[in-house]
Amino acid sequence: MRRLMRRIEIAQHRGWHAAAGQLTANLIREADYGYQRLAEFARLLRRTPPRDLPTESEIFREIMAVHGEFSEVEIDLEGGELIVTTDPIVLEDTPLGPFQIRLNVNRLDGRQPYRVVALDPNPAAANEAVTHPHIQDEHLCEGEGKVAIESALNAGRLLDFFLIVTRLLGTYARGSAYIELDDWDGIRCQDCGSLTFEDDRCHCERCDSDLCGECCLSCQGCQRGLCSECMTTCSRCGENYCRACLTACRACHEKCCENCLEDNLCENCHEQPDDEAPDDGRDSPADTLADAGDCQERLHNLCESTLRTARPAGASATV
Amino acid sequence: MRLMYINNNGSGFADYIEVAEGTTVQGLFAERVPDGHPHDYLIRVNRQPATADQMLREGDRVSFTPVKIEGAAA
Repeated sequence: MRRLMRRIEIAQHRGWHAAAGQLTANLIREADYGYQRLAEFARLLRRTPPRDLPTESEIFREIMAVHGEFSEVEIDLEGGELIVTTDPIVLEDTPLGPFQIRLNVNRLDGRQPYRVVALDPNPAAANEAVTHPHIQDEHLCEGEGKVAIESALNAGRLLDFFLIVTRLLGTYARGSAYIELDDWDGIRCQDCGSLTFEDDRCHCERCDSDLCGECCLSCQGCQRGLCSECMTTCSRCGENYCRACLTACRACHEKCCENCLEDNLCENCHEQPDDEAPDDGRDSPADTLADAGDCQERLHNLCESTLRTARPAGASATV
Repeated sequence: MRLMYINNNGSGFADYIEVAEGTTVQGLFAERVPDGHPHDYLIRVNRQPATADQMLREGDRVSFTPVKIEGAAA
């Protein structure tokens, strides 16, 4: 900021008013930034006042209060842990079992000096490490409880700490979970039946059925993702297309993609020679003459045979 | 009279406050959490469950902890 102020003075002295204006704007930005950082620092100082360490009697009262509040409390002197076991947790009809909240009193100065262990785990199907929507690898994501937990541990309020963590375990924050309860047991792919999870799941854009990544087929024409029921193939090239992206060949009526049709004829029908032009239901003049010739010949033969049968032996006949 | 008041909601509060003599637990709650309902909180006086009509005394420690506290995913 001092350097900026000096440059402003120089610019003003030399009559470079535009430059001075720009430098002044820069100086104002720097001053605002500095003010914000100071305000933030002051806020932090206010939030973490000098710690008054709890006395031995206060700690004793806290531990006794924890014993009174929770039915299962242990002190692991060797591991330095105060352990509370919760009642079985059920969130939206999904049983998660009881949890142990293990507070390490030797790490109270550290970040999150506790872990939350599932005693009878019912983890998410997609990830065994997620034993609760807000716990992964025994680490609880504290969300709304973060500041209150820090404050309680800083002040040695052990009962408050365990109450807050227990309430976090008993609350489901939909939309903020490692794995949502709707996906806890996975969802079956409609085509192959395998379990699908949120990051691998897609939906048929026609019938909205749930599909795994492998069963979700892409129409080569419109790029829509479809299930096997809604997808079909071009009769000529065999590529995947939805029914809307296929057109019937006007000769053989096979469903083909636009790449396999020319003048609404498929490759097979398009390549036939002219005299074998596709049968459109009407005879060509050549066919008509040929048919007439055939009829005449057959009629001639029929008459001959009839007369042969009818005339006496030795007589002749002319047709 | 002087109490230790602790509110474990959100950013929390933990400090000594002055309240009128004869204040009950219910009265303190209504004063300090005007938009809340007591049944949405775990209320402890001197680390023990308390009734709404319990009269508070000098030096009491009162804590309010929300029943619902939402976690997150890191």
